[in-house]
Amino acid sequence: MMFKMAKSKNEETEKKEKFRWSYAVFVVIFLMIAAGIISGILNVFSGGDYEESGNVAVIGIKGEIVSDDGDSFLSDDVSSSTDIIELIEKAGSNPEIKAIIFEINSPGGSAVASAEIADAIKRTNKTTVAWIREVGASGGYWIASSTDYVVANRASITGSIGVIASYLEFDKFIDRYNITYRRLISGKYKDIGSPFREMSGEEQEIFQKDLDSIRDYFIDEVAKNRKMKKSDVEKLATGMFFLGAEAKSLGLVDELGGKQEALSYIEKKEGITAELTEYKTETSLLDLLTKSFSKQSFYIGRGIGKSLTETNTYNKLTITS
Amino acid sequence: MKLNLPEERTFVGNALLWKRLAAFAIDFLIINFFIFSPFKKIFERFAGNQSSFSEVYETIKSNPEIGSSIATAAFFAGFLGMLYFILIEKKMQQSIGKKLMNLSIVSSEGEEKHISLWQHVVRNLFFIPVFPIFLLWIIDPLFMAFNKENMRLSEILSRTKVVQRYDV
Repeated sequence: MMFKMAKSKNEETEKKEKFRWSYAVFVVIFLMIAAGIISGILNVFSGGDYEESGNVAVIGIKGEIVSDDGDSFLSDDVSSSTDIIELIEKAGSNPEIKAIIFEINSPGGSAVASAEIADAIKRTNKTTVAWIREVGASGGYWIASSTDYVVANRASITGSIGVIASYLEFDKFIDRYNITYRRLISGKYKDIGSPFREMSGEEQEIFQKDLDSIRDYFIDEVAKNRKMKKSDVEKLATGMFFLGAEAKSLGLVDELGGKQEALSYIEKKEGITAELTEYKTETSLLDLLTKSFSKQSFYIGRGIGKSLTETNTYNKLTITS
Repeated sequence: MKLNLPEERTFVGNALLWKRLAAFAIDFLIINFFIFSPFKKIFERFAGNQSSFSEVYETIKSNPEIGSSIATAAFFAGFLGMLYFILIEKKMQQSIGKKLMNLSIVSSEGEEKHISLWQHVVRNLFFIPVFPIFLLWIIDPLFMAFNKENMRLSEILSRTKVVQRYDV
């Protein structure tokens, strides 16, 4: 070993700053706090898709079913088929995931979006279970029917197999204010469904025919998914909703219950101990801020509107359970 | 009464390898317990269920977001680990482990010479898990093993070295 220099201890102490334990402890505490904050932020923003590691994915289908994210600008209560399909594909490609539970609380929505989600569910190679909570009606039921097993609460609202299309017609309103709707079209039906003129009988027939085709497709899909006769589903497809217990007796639901029943089915079928992992769409900080601001503005506007238009808010009939 | 005793003297020499390893082990335990542990939750969340490296690799391959989340967490964990050494050694030329092992850092160009912030960054850069820096995890120990002064490549590049003080 080489000794390069030798000097007095006093000289050494003067040159070198004395080791201060308080400073070292301060640095460790500071870095520990920084690590806690950074890991917390990463936990929230870097992996929204996975809450915990597990073998059963839970995908929520809540609110109105729409086909695009843009539709959800003012509300959290929508499920975009684009996002849901992405989550289904992610869960499908994860070898750890053995089954997917769809937590449904939706009154339906776009027929196209519902069909897209239902198709994605049928494409996946995992066991799929629908867990209908408050409502799983119309498009929500379409999606539920495409899973391997449907569980619903006795008091859930489900069914409502049918199609609806509606719009407001303003032709009488604009007449009243002496406004003219100048119609310049190239193609007979180019302004079909325009709210500024009355719909003709022929146009109504065209719309009705399309609605009937979509309804027929809906019935076909439910019959295939539920392995029921088309004629049996046809009888149920009046747009009527059914409570869970009634839906079970009609064959629209496999079991009455909730999450536990859904898990029991998966555990029995897959021979696993189910550990849930929530699959959610990633929310960036910008998304959160935008949603927060837009919602605030929306509620402020709605509050002002309500105060101007409602004089008596106590005589409204509200049914809740 | 004033005694005229000979003055205590300190000799400075290259640090013994085992002392260096012991000092690093102490520092690493501190970093692992206080700084890395909050990040462990993220790693376990994404790759905790897999029993082998190939399963972790498969999960990351099937979900690229998991890979980027793990990489981000590893980067920040490594960065804070590097800060531990920089903040303490810049001020006192010793980390906690080195203090307990009686080691300190000096410039290889002369003990009197000031060690700049950049020199501290370079000598601790190996903490950052980014290509090609993480190759230092292999190169540094090899350099240490085959170098007569037990210097790491990072130390040669930063023109610093670890010395041991002997009081006589």
